[in-house]
Amino acid sequence: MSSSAAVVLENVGVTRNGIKILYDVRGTIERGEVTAIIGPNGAGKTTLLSAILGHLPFTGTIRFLDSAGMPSTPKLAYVPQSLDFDRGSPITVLDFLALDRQKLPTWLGINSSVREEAVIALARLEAAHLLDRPLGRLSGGEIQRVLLASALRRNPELLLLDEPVSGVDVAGGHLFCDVLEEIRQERRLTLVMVSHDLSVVSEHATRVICLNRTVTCQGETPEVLTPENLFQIYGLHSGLYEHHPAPTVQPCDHHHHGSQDDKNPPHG
Amino acid sequence: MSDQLIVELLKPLYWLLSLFPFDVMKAHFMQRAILTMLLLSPVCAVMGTLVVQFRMAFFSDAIAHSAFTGIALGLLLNIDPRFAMPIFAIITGIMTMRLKRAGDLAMDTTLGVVFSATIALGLAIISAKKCLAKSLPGFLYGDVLAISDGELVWMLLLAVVVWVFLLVWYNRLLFMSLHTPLARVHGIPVERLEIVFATLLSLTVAFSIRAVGILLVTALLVIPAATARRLGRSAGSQVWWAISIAIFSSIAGLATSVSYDTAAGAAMILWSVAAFGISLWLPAS
Repeated sequence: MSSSAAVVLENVGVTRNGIKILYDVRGTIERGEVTAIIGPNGAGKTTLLSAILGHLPFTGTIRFLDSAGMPSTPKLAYVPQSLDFDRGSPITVLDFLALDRQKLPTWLGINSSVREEAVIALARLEAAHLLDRPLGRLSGGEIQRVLLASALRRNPELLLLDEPVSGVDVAGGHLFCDVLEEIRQERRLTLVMVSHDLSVVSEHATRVICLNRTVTCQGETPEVLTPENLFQIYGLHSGLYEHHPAPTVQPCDHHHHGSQDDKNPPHG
Repeated sequence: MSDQLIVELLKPLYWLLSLFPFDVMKAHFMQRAILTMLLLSPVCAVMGTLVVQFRMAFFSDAIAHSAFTGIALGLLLNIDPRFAMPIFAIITGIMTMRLKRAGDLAMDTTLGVVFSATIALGLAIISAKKCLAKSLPGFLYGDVLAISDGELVWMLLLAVVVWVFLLVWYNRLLFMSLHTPLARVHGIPVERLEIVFATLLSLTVAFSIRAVGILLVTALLVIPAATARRLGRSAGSQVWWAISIAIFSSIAGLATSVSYDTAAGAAMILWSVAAFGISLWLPAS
């Protein structure tokens, strides 16, 4: 697959309250690929995602390029890890999907076109049955599917996911990746996911950026996920990974796997 | 505003009320009280659903208490406290939001500081000028039965402004309450919207003080919304439940106040608390 850079990070730094959270971050996010940002807790993964989204001040430059290599402002979508809200609130999935699609307050009715669009977006993720359920009653995986449905409806060129399928049931995680992979191929979507789950990364990401306040290594997944690199990044945790045969690079190829490997790091 | 204009503006509303077959409704003060609550309580109820969603109950309480200082400052500087109070409330509201954003303090800590600062200032003024203290009880407990036609027109203006704002921005505010960074990605002007919401909420609080008093304003916002949160089955039905509960408890409260000679604000809030109690007892939807 020939690829070109979609996002170029040059010398990116973030300092908050005098503490350097990120410094000298350099790297590229390739168009049409799945780039995973991995690293230990406190490595600044989510901070880097926020910087790419433009939500916090940073030094250095983050350039977005179109397929001809010219500067552009791509359509972004973002799937947060979860929602931060009052779990007892009666807001339903349909309400949530209507809130950013119509100005007319939902208490004066939801447009039938908005409703249909919501049903289609959810059906794509096998979540149409969630339409009238309150958000507060959904599981973590169900909320992520709703958030992905909302993000995909924006027809993004660049989709950023914060810890997808973390704390998600196995079936939900599979479905999530299947659909993402289908849509990525269909629309040549560029995906960036922050993840600490190496099994997800080895299975679904084509490229990896290792972050520990700065980039420690980056490249194609099998080149990066070597025992030496992992030892450097995670220390003792890499022991789990060493016994695994060659990492599977083909994304969402889990039909050939036992389903239980999806959640825990593979033991080989 | 000229008195003539005020009378003309309110005529159709009074005519509507005169259609009700209750003797007590013939009294002008009662008609004004009912109109005030019909204007104010639905606005408070809908704003209240957002207050509950944004966990801003303490914010509205702090604004209400800052009104006390607004009144004291007004009395001291010889500005009509009915003007000084809303202006001071808005300043406090905007200042709080700015402080919260500039610092890295949690909202409740920021509010704790603002709250104490304004109250201390108010108490300092009142204690130095003892003659001002006489005018305070009216604001502490509110008196919806003593509202003038002029004030009623101001309530009408507030209601129009807040309703227009809610019609245009309600959905985006609710979206923002679910995940602020996501709202930003979806093109919602988070910072500006937050300030406008805080301003209109401060104004709503300041106007409601006249009706139910400083001590009970937050109840007018929060209790119908909290009750509706348990009864509604969607964001939309929550709003209609909140409006219904607010109107019901206002009218029931006014009736109680006339029959038993209790403070109207207290009676209205007690009715909404009763509704809240019933909602707790009902199985959650």
